[in-house]
Amino acid sequence: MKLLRRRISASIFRSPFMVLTTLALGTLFALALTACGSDDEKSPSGSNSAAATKAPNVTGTVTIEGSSTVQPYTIALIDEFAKTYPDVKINPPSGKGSGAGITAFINKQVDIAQSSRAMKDDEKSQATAAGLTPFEVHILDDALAITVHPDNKVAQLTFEQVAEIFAGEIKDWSEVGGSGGAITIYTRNEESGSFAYMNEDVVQKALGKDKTYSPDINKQANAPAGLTAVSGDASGIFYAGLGNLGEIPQGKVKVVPVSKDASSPPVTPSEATVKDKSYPISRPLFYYTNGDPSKATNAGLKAFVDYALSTDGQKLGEEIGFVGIK
Amino acid sequence: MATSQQAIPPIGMLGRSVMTRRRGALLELGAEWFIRSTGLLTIVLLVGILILLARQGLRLFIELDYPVGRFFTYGNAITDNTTDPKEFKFGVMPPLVATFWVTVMTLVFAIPLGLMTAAFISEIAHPRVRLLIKSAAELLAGVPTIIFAFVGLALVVPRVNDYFGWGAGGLSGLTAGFVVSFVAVPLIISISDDAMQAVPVDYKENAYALGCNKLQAIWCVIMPAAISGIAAAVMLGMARAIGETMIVVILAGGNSSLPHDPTESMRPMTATIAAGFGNASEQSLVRPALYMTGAILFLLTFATTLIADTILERQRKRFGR
Repeated sequence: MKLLRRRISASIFRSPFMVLTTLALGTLFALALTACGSDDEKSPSGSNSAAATKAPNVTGTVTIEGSSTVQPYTIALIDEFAKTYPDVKINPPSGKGSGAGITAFINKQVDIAQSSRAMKDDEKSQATAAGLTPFEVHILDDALAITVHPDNKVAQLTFEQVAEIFAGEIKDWSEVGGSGGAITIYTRNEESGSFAYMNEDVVQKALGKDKTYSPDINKQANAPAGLTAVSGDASGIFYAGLGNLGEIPQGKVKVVPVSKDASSPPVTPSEATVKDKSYPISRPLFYYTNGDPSKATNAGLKAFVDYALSTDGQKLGEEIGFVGIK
Repeated sequence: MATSQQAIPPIGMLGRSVMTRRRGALLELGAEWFIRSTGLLTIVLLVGILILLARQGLRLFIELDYPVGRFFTYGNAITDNTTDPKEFKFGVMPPLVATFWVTVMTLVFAIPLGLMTAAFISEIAHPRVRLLIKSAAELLAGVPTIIFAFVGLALVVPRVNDYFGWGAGGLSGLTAGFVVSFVAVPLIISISDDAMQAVPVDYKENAYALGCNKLQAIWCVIMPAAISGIAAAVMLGMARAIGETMIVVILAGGNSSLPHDPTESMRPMTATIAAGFGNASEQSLVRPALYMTGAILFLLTFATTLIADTILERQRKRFGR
């Protein structure tokens, strides 16, 4: 009986404990949610107007967030930049996506939003309402590569076919000379600049403003997840930036050449074909700052953007796989 | 336990009478109130979360003029950053249904596995084996869910794709539910094992005395007697499945439209919130819409946990003689 009593008391303790644990976990979850959103009063950090104008003595703090396409470039740039400007503190981005970067910029959490698409009018008016003057700095060019499973027989696609596939109007690979049956569309999720770019500058440009993505797209959290999905799905299609193609072993996915229209030759995305504008799905990459960075009071911010546009900064971008703008 | 035959005053009163006799009574009083306030904090936080979620979420309908009907019936959940109610294509139904399917699939796999393991370790296994399995289950419960997600991506997804061709290349609600079930199983094992252990020995002895074999004793006597504890275990496993985030972000497929059956690609509530929060600027409609989704998610898990607790309470009254 003693043993029994002990067992019962054990089960009595168990329940409230479990309940409290569950509640506590819920609490943490919600706190994390609030913490994400309640930083709004914080003004852009490091408006350090006392900074000296002499180049090596530049100080300041710069925070960046945004596109996962631009991410490898910004990270490399920060490393190089620190060698020349050791006194500027830069908080590196996490690369959540262009939308996330622009949102953080509107919420005044960061000085620079890195983006793989232009800011939307809606976002611009949100920024203006928040008292900001978004300034666009074109830093590099990039291409969106169309990737499929290596076994897919599709040899080429036109710009319009790409649009029709992502809009769900072409539903089977046999319609475009491919194999694999019904097309499974993989995209990035809404935070991504590539997601919005594909919708606005490919689907809507080719098919009209009233068209949009098919409702049956499978939204992946990041480029590697999408590439992995396509590498395992014979019917899949996905898009990724040139810089992201290095994130999966070669031969796991096939990059499909794209032509401007039915009468043009198909073009494989590369540095050369982006530069001579023969690859049709190429796009500019941006840094967004509050006002012209060359007139910024934050000397660190000015120096960082200048460095990105300098010969060294541009060369760094080309080493990673992007295309310089000069 | 030596004094158990005397009339014992309630525990709190006992503490107080002992305390007044000691030195440092003030310190003791302070400590008592500190501990009490930490206890109360949990309740304050709980109510606070609900108020916060509701206040932020209801802005969607009150200030931002997003139609309530559209929020509950629209067939897609796109978390674009926009301030225009006409452009905002967000309905809570697709994520809610996706959460439902993933949870159902989790339970389909987790209930048999969890209950059979619990019956085995509680009634059949040698005490040493029982200890081994129970510790293993507890270790399993401690594995970060992102690890489960990656193991699922490497082992489960290709097989679902090759053998069944479900979802988007094997990414589906069923795949996610199957992997989440391994997160829920340790919880179910642990609580239903306790429930079966709490069934009075006389029940079991009587069952065997009447000529039951082990299976009959477990199936016809012990499990029915422990049914409320088992039900609570299942409910808590369910709450775990509803709240699971990382696994469904990676394995459920990410289709934000309404899923019709569990083999489709889908995006449950937790994954929708995770994917959309980066876009949720101050002025946007996404932010209150996600808070509203969070409030519904919170109420779901809260209700499930509450029901589980009520059932466990009933079990306790039944055998706590």
